[in-house]
Amino acid sequence: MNRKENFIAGFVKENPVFGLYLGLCSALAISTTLDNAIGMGLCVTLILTASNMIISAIRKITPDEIRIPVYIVVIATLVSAVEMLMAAFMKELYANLGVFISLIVVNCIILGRAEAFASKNGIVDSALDGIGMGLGYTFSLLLISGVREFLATASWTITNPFNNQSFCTLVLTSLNHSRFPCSIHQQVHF
Amino acid sequence: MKKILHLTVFLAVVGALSAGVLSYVNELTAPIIEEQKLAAVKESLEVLYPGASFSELSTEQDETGLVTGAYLADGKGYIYQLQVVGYNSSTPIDFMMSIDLDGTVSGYAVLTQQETSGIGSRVADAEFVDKVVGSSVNDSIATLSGATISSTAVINGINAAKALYGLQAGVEVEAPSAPEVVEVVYTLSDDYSSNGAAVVSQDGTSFTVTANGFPGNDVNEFVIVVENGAIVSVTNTVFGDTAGIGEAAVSEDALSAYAGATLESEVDAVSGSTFTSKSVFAAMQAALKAASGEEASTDEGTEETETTEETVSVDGDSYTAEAQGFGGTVSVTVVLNGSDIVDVQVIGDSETAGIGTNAIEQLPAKIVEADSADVDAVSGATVTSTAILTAVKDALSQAGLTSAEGTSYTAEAQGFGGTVSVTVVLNGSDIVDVQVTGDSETAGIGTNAIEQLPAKIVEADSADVDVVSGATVTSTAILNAVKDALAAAQ
Repeated sequence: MNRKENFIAGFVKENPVFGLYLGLCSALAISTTLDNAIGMGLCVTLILTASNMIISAIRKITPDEIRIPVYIVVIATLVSAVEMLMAAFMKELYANLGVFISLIVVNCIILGRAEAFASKNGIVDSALDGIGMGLGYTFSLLLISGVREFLATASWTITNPFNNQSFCTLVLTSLNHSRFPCSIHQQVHF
Repeated sequence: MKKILHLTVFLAVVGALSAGVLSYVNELTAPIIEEQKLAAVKESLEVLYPGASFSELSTEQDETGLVTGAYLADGKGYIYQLQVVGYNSSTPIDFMMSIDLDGTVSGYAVLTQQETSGIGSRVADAEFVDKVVGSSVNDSIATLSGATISSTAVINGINAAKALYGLQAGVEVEAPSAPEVVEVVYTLSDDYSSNGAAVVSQDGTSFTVTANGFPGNDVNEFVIVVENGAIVSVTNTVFGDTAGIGEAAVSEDALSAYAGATLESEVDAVSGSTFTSKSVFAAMQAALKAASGEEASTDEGTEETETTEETVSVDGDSYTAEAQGFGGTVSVTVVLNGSDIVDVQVIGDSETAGIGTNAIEQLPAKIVEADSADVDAVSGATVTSTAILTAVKDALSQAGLTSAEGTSYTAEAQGFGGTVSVTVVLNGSDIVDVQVTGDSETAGIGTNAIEQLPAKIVEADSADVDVVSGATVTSTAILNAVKDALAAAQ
C-alpha cells in the first residue's frame, strides 16, 4: 500500500513540476511539442529510475560527506550514456532535444529524488519512485506541451522517435462560413 | 587522515567505474553515430563516386567558410559539400561537387535551392552543370547572364572547394579569379514581347512608356525622348522592380549610356540587373517604333498593357493562364503548334521548394508528352499539380481546344444569386470535366462550391457528391445542373 501511494504521489500530490516545482527550466524549454515532451519525459524517467536504483544500492557504502559529488558522477554517467545511445538510435529526437539531454545532469528532479528518496530507501522502492516521478514529469510536460503545440500549430502530432514517422495527427480545421465554427479532423497513420 | 583517504579512494573508484561504463558505451555507439552522419550524405556521395569507400575530411583549412563537408572517395577523388547564399537570403543553396584526383571537376549537383524558379534556379540546370563538370580546377567559370547573383554565389563556392582541394590533394591550384561576368549583347531590335512594353502617352518627341522588368514585379515607367529615330534621353519615372537589385539598371549613368541608340544599336545590360535592363530596352524599342510610326498608335499600346494586367495574355501561339497554387499564383504558359502542346512553362515562385516545385519541374514534360492536361498529379504535390493542370486547361480553352476529349453538355439551374451554368464534358459515361459559371454567387461562400465541386464530381464520376458545407444553395444548383446535363446526355 505504501509503495502504491509512493508511486501515485509522483503524478499528483508530489508531481515534480506542478507539486514540487522541480525541473521547471527544462519543462519550459522542452514543452514546445508533444514529441519533444514524450522524448524528454521518457529520457528523464529512464535516467531517474536508473540513478535512483544505483544510488539506493550504494547508499550504505557512500560516505555522507561526498554523497553529492558521487550522485552527480552517477547521474552524469547515465546521462552521457543515454545521450550517446540516443545519438546512435534515435537521431531525430536527439537533434530535437539537443542540449537539454546533457542538461538532465543538473535537472533538480534527479538529484532531488536521489537526495530525498533513494539515499534513504531500498532499491525496489527507489525504482518505483523513479518511475512514478519520471511519469509524473512526463505527464506535466504533456499537459504543457499539449497547450503550447495546439496554440502554435492548431494541431497535435505524435511522431515515432525511432523512424520519425508520424503516428497520428489531429488537426483543427475551420470550415468557411459553416454553421459550426470548427471541427476536429483526425488523421491516423500506422 | 584515514577518513580523507577513504573519501578520496571512494570517489576515485566511482569515477573510474563511470569512466569504464562510458568508454564501453562510446565504443558501442561511436561507429553507429559516425555511420549515421555519413549515411545522411552517403547517398549523394554514391552518386558522384559509385561504389567507392568514403572517409570524412576536415574542412578547417577552408578560409571562406562555404565548405560544409569534405570527403575523400578512396582512390577516386574528393567530394565537397557547400553552402552559399544566393538571391534568396533565407534559404541558402546547398550543393556538392566532386574533383577527381587529376584535378577535373567530375560532378556537380545542387541538393537544395530556393532561388527564383527559372532564373536563379538555373544554377541547378543542365546548362550550368555542363559548364562546371569537366572543367579543370584551374579554369574559371563564367556566371549566368540574368542570374548573376545566384551563379556568382555558386561559383564562389566552387572556387572555395577548389582551393581546399588544392590544399588537401597537395596540388597547386591557381587562385581563382572573381567569377567572370558574361556580357550578353542585346540589340534594340530583339524581341522583348515578354516585357510587355507599351506607350502610354506621347508629348511631341517625348514618349511615356511602361514595361515589365523582373517577372511578377510592378511595371517600370520611362519617359523617353526620341529624335530622328535615335534616343535622346531616357528617364525612369516609376520604378517597380526589385529594390537594391534592379536599380542599377535605371541609374542615370546606365540610362545616359543609351543616348544616341537606334533600333539597330547594340546595348549593354547592367550585370546583376539584366531583367530591369531588358525592360529599359523594351521601353526604348517601343518608343523608337512609336516615333517611327512603324507600330501601333498609343491606343493599341494601352490595350496591350491591359491584356498583360489581366491574368490571361495570348501571344502568338502561346497561351498563358493562372491558377491558385499552394503558396500563391501559379502562372502557366502553353505553347501550341496547331493542337499539339509543344511546350509548357510554369512560374510559381511561392510554391514550396521540394514539394510544389516537384510538380513545377515534372508536370510540364508529362503534359507535353501526353499532349493534354489529363495527366496524373505529382504525388505529394497535389495542390500545385492541380493548379498547374487547371491553368493548362484554361490556356487550352483560350486556344479553343478542350483538354478533355468528349462531348460537352450544358445545363442551368437557379443558384443563390442567379443562374448557375454548368458544362459537363463526357467521354462515354465518364465525366471528364465540369465547368461552372455563376457570376452572381456570393464570393467566399457560393464561389467555394464553384471551386470545389467540379473536381469532386469528376472524381466521383457522378453528381452524387456531398454539398460544400455553408454553400448548400449553390452546391445544390450545381449538382442539379450536372444531373440535368447528364440526363440530356442519355
